[in-house]
Amino acid sequence: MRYTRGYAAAVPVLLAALLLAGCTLGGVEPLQTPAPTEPPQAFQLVVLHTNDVRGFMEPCG
Amino acid sequence: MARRATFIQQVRDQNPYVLLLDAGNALISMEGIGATTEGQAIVEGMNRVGYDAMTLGDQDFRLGIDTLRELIAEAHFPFLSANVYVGNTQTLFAEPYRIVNMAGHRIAIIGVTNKDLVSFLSGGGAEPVLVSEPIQSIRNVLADLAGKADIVIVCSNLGYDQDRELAAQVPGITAIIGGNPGMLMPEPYRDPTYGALIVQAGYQGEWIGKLTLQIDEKGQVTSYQGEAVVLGQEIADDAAIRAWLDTFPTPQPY
Repeated sequence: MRYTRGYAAAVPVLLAALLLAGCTLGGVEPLQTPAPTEPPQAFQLVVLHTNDVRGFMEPCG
Repeated sequence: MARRATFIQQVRDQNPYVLLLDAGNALISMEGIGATTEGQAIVEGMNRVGYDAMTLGDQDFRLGIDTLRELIAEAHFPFLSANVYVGNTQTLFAEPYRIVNMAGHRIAIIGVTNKDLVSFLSGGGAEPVLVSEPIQSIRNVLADLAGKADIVIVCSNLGYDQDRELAAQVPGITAIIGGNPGMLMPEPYRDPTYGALIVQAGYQGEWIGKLTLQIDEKGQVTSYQGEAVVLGQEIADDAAIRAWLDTFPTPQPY
C-alpha cells in the first residue's frame, strides 16, 4: 500500500518532467533546429530532389 | 543510388548550402532489393547519402502501416506529412515539417501527401490513417509557421496539377518540390500569382533534380535555375555505395 501511494505521487512529477523535457502526449512535434544566431545573409541554396524512385536502386542508363 | 551518391557529393563539394529532399513514393517497390527488404534497403541507402527529409507518398503506404513505422524509426531523416492522421484522431502520422537553419535563414520544409492514399486504404473496417484536404492543411501549417520561417519549401506528393493549384492559391511558398506520378520537368515553372517555383525530376531514380536559388538577406529569391540531371553512365559509381549495394545477394536486373 505504501509503495502504491508512492508510485501515485510520482506520476505528476514524471509528467511534469516529460513536459519540461519538451515531450508531448499523443502528438507528433515537428523537428526544429535552434534559432539562427547569425544575421540573415544573401546566399545560394541548392535543393537536390528526387521523386517516385519506387525502390529502384540502379538507373537504367 | 551509387551514381546519385556521386552527383550529390559533387554538388556538396561545390556548395555550402545544400538540401537533399525526396517527394515521396521512394520506398514501395515491386522487385529487387527494395521489394525483398520491404523498403529497408531504400531507407538505409537514403541514410547513407544523407537525405534531409522525405515526404510520405501515397504509394509508400502500400508497405503497410506497421512496416512504415519501422522504416520511419530506422531513418536518419524525418518523414514528413502535414495531412495524414492516425485513424480518426487529431494525431499526425508523421512530422508535418522540419526547420533547417542556413546562412541565418530559417528554412521550413513541409510535407504533404496525395489524397489518393484513401483509395487503397479504405474498405475492410476502420481506416488506419485519414488524409485531410492538402491545400487547407498547408494553409494551417503556414499559419503555425508565421514568424518562425523565412523560406518555405513544400515537398509535395500531390502531383503537378495540384501543385499548380497550391502555388496559385497559397502565398508564402518559395518552392514546391513535386512528385507523383513522376513527371520530368527540364526546367522550373514559376507561378505568376505568388511566384512559387515548381519542379519535379522524373521517376525510378533515373534523374535527380537540381534547383539553385539565389536568395537575398530578406529571404526573397532573386534568381533561380533548375534542371533534371540524367544519372547516366558518365557519372561514376560512388565506391562506398557500390560496395554496399554489392553485398545484397539478389542481382539487380535494372
